[in-house]
Amino acid sequence: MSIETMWLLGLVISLILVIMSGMPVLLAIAGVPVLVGIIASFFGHFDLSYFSAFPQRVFGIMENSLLIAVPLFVMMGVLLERSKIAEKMLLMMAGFFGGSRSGLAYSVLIVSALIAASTGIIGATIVMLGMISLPALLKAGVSKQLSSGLICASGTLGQIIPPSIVLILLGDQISNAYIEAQQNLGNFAPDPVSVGDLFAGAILPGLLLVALYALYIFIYGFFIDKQPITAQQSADITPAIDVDFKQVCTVFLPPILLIIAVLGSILMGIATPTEAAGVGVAGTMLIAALNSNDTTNKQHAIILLGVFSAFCIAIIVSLQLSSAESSSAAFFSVLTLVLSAILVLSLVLSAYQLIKDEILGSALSQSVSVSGMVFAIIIAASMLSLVFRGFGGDEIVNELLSNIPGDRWGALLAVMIVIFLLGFILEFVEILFIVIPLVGPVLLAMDFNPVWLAILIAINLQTSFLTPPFGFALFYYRSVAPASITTVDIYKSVIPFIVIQLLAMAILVMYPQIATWLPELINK
Amino acid sequence: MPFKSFSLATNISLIIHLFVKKICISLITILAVSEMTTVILRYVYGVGFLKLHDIALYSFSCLVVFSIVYTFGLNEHVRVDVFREKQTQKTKQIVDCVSIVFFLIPFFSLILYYVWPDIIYSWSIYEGSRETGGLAGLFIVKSTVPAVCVLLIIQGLVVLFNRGLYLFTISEGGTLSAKKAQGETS
Repeated sequence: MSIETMWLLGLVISLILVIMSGMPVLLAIAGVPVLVGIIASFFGHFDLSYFSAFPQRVFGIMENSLLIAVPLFVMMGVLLERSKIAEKMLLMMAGFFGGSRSGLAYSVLIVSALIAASTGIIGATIVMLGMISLPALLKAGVSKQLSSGLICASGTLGQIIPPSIVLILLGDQISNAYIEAQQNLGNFAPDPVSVGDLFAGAILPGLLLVALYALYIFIYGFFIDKQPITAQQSADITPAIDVDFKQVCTVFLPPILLIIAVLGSILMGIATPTEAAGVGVAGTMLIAALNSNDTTNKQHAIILLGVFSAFCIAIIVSLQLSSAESSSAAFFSVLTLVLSAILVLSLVLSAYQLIKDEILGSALSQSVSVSGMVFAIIIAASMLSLVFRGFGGDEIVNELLSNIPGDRWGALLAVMIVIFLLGFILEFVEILFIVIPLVGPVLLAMDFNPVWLAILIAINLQTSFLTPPFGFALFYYRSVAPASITTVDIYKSVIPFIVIQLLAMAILVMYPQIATWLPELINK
Repeated sequence: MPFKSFSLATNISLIIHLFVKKICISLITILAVSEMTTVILRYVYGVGFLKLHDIALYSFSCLVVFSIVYTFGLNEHVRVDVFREKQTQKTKQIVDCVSIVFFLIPFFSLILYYVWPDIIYSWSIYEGSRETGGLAGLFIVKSTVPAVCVLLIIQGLVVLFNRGLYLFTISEGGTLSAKKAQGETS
């Protein structure tokens, strides 16, 4: 065993011990590598100049425009929570499912799949789900085991249901690896693999996961959770809300339309995730203000007019009525001008109303503290990976992988296990950028389908967010779960869902068409 | 001094926290407003302004680092508390002291040391946006990194001074309940 391996082993072991001591994870994953690096440098085994690369990494995170969506999506979630609209939405959905306990769990799953799809950011999604749906689930008598596991697992769906940042980064890496592999095989004009292919490929596997989660809720409700519903609980849940048309319009429809607008604009390639998040915040503000208890009728009307204007603008813009080619361009240009003025006015009015209700200020400060937690972990994980590479950790991993016995399935299994294990300590971005360039060309030269391989890796990475003790989904959930749910409860609650993830990967290996059928259909 | 019953160190920490809170709320507001403006301008009128894009990016960049100080002040950074739940109050305070002496101070001092040349260079050329026609003042944005390191070290030292109690820790003895005093509910 080389001296670097010893230090790496020391790094990993001390990291585990320090994290378990209960200090902030930020300080553990940032501080331990620094300390180990400095100590190793006294023995001449670590080059301190590695640290000089760190400020550039911090600046890189600060300039990463993909991450701008994080605070905005968090703000959207907090506002939705404060306005109680999501709670009403969940309860109403539960009403559709007959007001049963499992019904609420199904509705959380469906709503969270939609929300996860629209944000694609684990931290923001889990925090939002934890704040919105956990109190409702517990109140309705769903066990804390099922609710915790369901929220953690559903929150990570954003990684696999497009559009997701993981898939974008993965698409970039896989495509490079695929071209390299094909060139090594003598094919100098391979079909490129695009991010769009991965998005299309991930849709069915994502739905497969949702279906498997739903199956688990069904089995759990039928065979495992035999606790009778108490009178208090049944009073809370049945009948949830008498569903009439007006309530559907005011409570249920706007958020769903908003989520569809946010998701659709990204999926169809119209808006970037950041822009879509901006739309999401604006829409949430309007919805929250409409749900405020003391708006006057006049204010209500102006805000509703603003919502109406937004829809008209969307229609005019998407039909390109105001473009120069259109025959009545001048008319529609003036119309959009007026409509957007109304929209801005209603946004200002909503903000004023939310400040008056003391919702906006606290929502903003909560968004800041949640974002701070996410950013801190990203920055700290970046220090860990820097030191990991400084000790030659990436080379050691590479060396180990190239000596795996067995045919291509042996190599694939080994890579999957390594990614799974690395997921315990590293951020998914680091795993992607360390592991895929190393193993991608080797695996793809073994004639695996690149889209299928990428989706398999994505599900694997998604699972690594759930694995205790270092699953980041669990950290985020811990930060919003009440103290009555212990950390051990959370760990136990995700085990069935980890099994489901492994099952989904096995299904995908047996039936690769699930991932490859749709991209091939689109490419035809 | 905001609260006479607290020590000088606690007051300094509280002032920093409230100051950082103001900065963060301004930043996230600017970010949201500029992002909404970008969307309306781009999709309704088909125009885009690099400077507006840079305003959003700069406020985001500052928010990334300042929000860490705010979250630290609230003691809301995530912990793996599988064993912490069983620790006594004294052990918890010892763990927090250790985390500050051995991890917080070295880590942020290290960033401070290595980021310094970048900051000096950035100021010497008054570094602006990467894009031509973008917003000036990137050197100020970059300077938030050392500023935040200093703030976090001060906040850490105050926790150390208070024997491992965070600003917003309601201790069993009730000696330090700034959270209540401020009426903060988050």
